[in-house]
Amino acid sequence: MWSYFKFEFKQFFTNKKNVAIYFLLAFATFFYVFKIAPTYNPIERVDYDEIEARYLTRQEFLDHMEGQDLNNVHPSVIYAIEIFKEINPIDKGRLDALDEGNFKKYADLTSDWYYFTNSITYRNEVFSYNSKYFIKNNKYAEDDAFYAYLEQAVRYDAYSKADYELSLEIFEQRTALQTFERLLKGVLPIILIVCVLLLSIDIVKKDQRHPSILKGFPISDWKKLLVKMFVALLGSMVLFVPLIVGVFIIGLQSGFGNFNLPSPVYAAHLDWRVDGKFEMMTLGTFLGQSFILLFTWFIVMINVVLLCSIIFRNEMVNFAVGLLLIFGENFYSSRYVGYFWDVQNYPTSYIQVGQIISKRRNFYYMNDQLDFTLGLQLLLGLAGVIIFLMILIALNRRYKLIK
Amino acid sequence: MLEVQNITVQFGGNKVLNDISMTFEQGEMIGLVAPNGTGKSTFMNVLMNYVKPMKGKVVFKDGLSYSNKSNEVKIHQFVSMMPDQSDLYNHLSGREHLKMFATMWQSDIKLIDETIEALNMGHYVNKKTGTYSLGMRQRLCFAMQIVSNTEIMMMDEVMNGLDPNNVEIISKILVKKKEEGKIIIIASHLLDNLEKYADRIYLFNNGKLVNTNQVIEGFSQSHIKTIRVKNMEGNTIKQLLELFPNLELQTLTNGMTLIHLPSSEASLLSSLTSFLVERNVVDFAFGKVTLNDLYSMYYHEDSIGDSQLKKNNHFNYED
Repeated sequence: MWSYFKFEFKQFFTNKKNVAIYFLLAFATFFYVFKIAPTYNPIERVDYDEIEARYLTRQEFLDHMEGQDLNNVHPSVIYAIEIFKEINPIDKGRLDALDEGNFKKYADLTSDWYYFTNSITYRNEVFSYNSKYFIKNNKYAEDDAFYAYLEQAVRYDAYSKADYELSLEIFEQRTALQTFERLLKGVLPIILIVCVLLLSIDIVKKDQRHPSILKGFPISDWKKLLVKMFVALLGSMVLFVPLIVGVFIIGLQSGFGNFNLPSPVYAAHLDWRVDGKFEMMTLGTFLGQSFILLFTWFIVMINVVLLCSIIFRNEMVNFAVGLLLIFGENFYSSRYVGYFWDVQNYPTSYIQVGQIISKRRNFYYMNDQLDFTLGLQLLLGLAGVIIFLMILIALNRRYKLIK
Repeated sequence: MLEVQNITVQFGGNKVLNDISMTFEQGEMIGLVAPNGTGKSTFMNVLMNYVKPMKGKVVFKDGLSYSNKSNEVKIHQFVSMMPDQSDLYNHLSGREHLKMFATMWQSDIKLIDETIEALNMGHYVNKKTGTYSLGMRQRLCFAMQIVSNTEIMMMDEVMNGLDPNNVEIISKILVKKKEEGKIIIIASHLLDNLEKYADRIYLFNNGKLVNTNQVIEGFSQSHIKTIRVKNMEGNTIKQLLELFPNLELQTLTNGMTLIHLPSSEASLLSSLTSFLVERNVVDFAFGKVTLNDLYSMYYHEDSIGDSQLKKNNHFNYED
């Protein structure tokens, strides 16, 4: 079995298609690291000028209104004065904190700022969230901003209690580990799972080109399949090599961050007016759980390819089935659909790995049940069933892995 | 030991192997001869369990047969078939192929260098096989099986694309392997070579394996039984039969006329030599029917009009 493993391992890593995939991923990583990451422009920035501009405008208004008779003014003016009087001391404190370089104080005040701002802005026709949320005809922009503000509030609250050194890069999530976190909540898991699909797509079919060499190997078909699975898994792990290099380079540019940084988790059960809407998770836990879920996806994808390979013996079928699994969520994915359907029971609902761990997906679907543990159970269960079927077929006396 | 028991393989309505039973012993080299598409490869594929017979089974040492997948793995540990040169990995070197087979069968790694040396592969074995000529690939495939060092080795067209020197080198290695006690089963069209080294040779006919000794009695023995005359004219043949009415003659499609002798008495041989020389027939040889002749007789019966040959193993001359 060890000999066969060495043989398959070598085949896998000398396969031109696989080398090309690694190369393309490395290229994409470096493009991201050198071109995209430095120009990252978060909506929620630490923008001294903007804070100052808003502060001064509001202060000017407050100064102007100071001592005036407010009996005959429009109610909105009174409302504005009340609000501005609440928020301006916070913004003044934030500006002072930035001037002093006191990031803890800035974080503490900014957390308050987000809580307060959110409470007055959400579903309020007078105030509006940052205009950058209102793009691409997003009907749910206000909800997204609501989510983002509360998340920021929790983040800054955690920063205010931090026992590590803070920086603007940390606040804007530009450090290497935070960049990785952002990517995991975006398209990175799908890119990686597609890569795994492409890496493993021909792992059985390639043998058809060398039947007389391979058919007589003294190793049973089911063991061959397990070895192939293991090799493909190892190959999938190699996908992280360019990513780690990329993270390292970003670390040199913007700092590495650390595993104790906050990574808020959406908590549907909390009342946002009282407790906020997020619980805290460390970045280390987030990355760990994301890796576990991603790894489980790799196992599922590889085994789906193996099962399809032994049944259909056609790479295009493998590709189609793999894509169906990866993008299957799009057939039912819709905002808040989880309130009506049990989307938590579909393995395809767990493809957005980072959003599952942070439970952003729960917010998207309006479903409390989507959960790392449930996702893990479903995917491992699916993998188990697929492996069982695969071995059952391979053990059949009439079945030949290589014809 | 390898025992084939009542093997029948049918593709559509065509029985490629028809109730074949035979036993091969350790230290035997078996030759399989037949035109293309008559069942040689199928027979080997059955021995490897690549093709499931409709009936019968193959039994190896300790009563092992392909009754389950576990047995198949056990059997493949001591039975191997030479790979096809078109299946080589073009991006791997010859040495990598050899290592692959040696490690897969956990044979002595020293065999790799020994085989490379024996087959004069040293100058190309480290290059990628995509750059090899047909003969180089063929030698590599043979070497791969040699380094697997299994007790039973099967080779389909092992000598394909090889020059006479390499044919001889490979033949000697095969003899050595045979002497080590291995069962070697070879399908080949290099009939002279096969005749020289194989202990038993089988012809395929209508799904049956026919021993050459059954076709011609004492085929494998070295007696003067035949005079082989090249391009003998009809007139001469007529005169010969008139003078020697006890002789049996047969003209093959390759232009060879076989004069089958009732005995190898010196006087008869002398008279026949004089007869042929007097008529300016000088291209003849005393000996026995060669495998080439037999092949020609056996598989080109229609052209020589001898349909009785396969039925009763008896030769009749037809003018």
